Amino acid sequence: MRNSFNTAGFSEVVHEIRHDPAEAAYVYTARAKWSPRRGLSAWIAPALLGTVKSARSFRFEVDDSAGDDPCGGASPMDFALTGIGSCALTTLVGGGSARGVEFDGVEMLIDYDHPAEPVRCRIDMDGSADDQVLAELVEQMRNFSPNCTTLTHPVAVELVRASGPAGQPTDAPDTPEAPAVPDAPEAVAAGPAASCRVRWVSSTQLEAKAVGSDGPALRVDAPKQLTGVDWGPNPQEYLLMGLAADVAAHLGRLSAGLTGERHVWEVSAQAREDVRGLLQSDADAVVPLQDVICTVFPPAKLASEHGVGEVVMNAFAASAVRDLISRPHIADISLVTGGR
Amino acid sequence: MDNYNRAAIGFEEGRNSDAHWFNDLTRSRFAGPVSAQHRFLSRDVSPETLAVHAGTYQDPITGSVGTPIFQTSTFLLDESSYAAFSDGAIRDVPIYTRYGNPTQWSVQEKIAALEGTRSSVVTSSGMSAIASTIYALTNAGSHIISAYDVYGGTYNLLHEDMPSAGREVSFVDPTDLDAIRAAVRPETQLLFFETLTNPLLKAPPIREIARIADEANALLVVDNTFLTPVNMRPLDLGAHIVVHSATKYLGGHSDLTAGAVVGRRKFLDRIWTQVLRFGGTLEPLACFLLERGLKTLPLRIRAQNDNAREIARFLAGHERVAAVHHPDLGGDRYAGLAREDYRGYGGMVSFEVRGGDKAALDFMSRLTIPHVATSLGGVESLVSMPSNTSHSSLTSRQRSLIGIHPGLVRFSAGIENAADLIRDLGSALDATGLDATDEEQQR
Repeated sequence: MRNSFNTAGFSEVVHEIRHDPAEAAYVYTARAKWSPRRGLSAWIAPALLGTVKSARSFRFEVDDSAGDDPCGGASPMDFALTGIGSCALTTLVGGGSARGVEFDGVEMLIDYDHPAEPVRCRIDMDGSADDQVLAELVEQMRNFSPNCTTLTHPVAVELVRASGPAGQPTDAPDTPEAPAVPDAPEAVAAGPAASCRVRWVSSTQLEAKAVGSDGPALRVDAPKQLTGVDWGPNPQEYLLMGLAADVAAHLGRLSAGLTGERHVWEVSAQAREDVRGLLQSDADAVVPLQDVICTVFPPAKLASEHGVGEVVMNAFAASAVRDLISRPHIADISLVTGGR
Repeated sequence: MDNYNRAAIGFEEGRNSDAHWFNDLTRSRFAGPVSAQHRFLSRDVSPETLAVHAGTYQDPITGSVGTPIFQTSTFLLDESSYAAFSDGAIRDVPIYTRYGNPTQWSVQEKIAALEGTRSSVVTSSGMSAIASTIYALTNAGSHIISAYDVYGGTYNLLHEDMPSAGREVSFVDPTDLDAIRAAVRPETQLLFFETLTNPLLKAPPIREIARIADEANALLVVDNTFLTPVNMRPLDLGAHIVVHSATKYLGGHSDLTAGAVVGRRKFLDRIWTQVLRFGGTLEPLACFLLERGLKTLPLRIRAQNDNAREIARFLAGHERVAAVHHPDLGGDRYAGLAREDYRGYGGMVSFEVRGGDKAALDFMSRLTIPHVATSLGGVESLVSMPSNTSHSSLTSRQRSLIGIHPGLVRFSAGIENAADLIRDLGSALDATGLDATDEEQQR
């Protein structure tokens, strides 16, 4: 297997979904909780890969983006950058493996400073191919990586407010009026800048580490249903964990400001990927994530509290990760070859 | 070697060095592996013909009629071998017998054809097949639904190994659809049931269970050991994977230990890699024995269906028998049985001898034709008691709860003459009736 990447397996997926496009619809779900006692945490729910379910067990403590409860772990924006960088590198290595390129090492330093600034991605790459082929691969990565294109394209993120807390019987979800999602980057809570170094390890396995962090590296991998070995969540799941955790953290902070008390907030983030876009098995297929839904489960105590709807919409609007997904950003991608 | 393509059909078409992206990759395996030397028959052919001919390796050098035993651990490396390593397609080229061997491919193709599907894997035992399947198709964090009275080896795997492997298991009554539906969770990934249970011959409604699995986006794995594809093809009813202890009816001669997994290649390749890691490969001589046994499967099953039915009817009328479990007899347990899904009920009969376990032991000692031995599905009749073999680890109360009452005997009908078997059973029961006093004492 070139680069430990199972090209035969990916080839079979390409042909399977040509026969049966329903197998190309992947649905990922992540959840996050902001708790006054336990801080911010995020985990993934079962994914549906076409008609096959992938249930996996990954849970993380997350640094509160509002800065209230630092746990030494990665922040929601670190999760989001990990999701974008690892998707880009997996796409790059996979595409390179398909055309026979052998890689010695691939890394990306991905920087987020401010909503108004481009997201900088510096790729360092060593491999058997010449610079022209490597540059072609980067271009294919830019066009076909689902998370990369989610960063650079406008992707609608729907906000849904559930009528009750997570895990309790609830009425039909109550969708508020269209939230006041800002068009201007200045209206988004900037939050702290983030910088992650994402390193390809083998096959679909990668590691990411927030620059300057002493915390453990985040492991990235595909589910074993997609030639991974379940070493960690996959790139889409990291991006969605970042979204859910960021919104949950803002909810905790804003609702405390409203009521003077701290409550448990849970958020679910779900998105669909049409893998025909990544694989280009159908040139017309959409590449970025679709049907991105952010569901907020308000605390039971706040069900009748006046102003909670506004808190939900403000938290959603303030989320920099939400902004990263919904508003098109400039990706400033640079490539360094052979000099690592 | 250069004159013959020993790789699987489709392997060469799947090699493409000109790919520029994923969409240029040309590998599209949906069946096999079988080589051009393996006889490939349409799945529309009758089971009797498939059993004899499907998968046979037609040796181009010697013209041998039967599949040769490729009793080798390794094969010469060539360009195809290296390409297989490079692409991650080592299942499709004979490289090393643990990965694959033409004798394995023969028997795998025969079993896949009989179950009406495209691919199969043979393994070193039925438990190897079951363990590899469950591990391959579930992830840590997933949930499995099965029956509390599945085969003891399966129960032990699910109960004793799955929790530490990060899988949770719920056990239900396999005939209670409401209980199965209620057990479904968002993370439910696999349902595992048997087409007939051991030893009480409960008949779970496979078609309805498959619907529940589909609604849950879960996979349904069915152990078809007791019925075999001659009596039921669960994949036609909506199951995703079928497993067998091939030690039983598929082999049919009590002379080998083997397992089989059958289904779409998409799933089978993952199960195959798990078999490799567990070291559960079936060696070539056992493959040969299994393939030879399979040639007579439909004939044997027909005889065993008939024998078991006749024996069940006889036992139901005998005064020394308190209860008989067999679908052909009907009764409350089989009131909702979808009889159109069955072409027979196999060779198993279980029944309760009046007088309890002591009387049952006495009865078995008086039989002259069946062997008193565990296992089932061979050409010879076998008889045993669950209480002191397969279910001996349970307490009396636990056995009673699942319906294993004192005196329960499990009879695996062979292909002997039914009249001989019935005469032998009758004589033993009659003699047991004269000697046994347990029942009176129990009263």
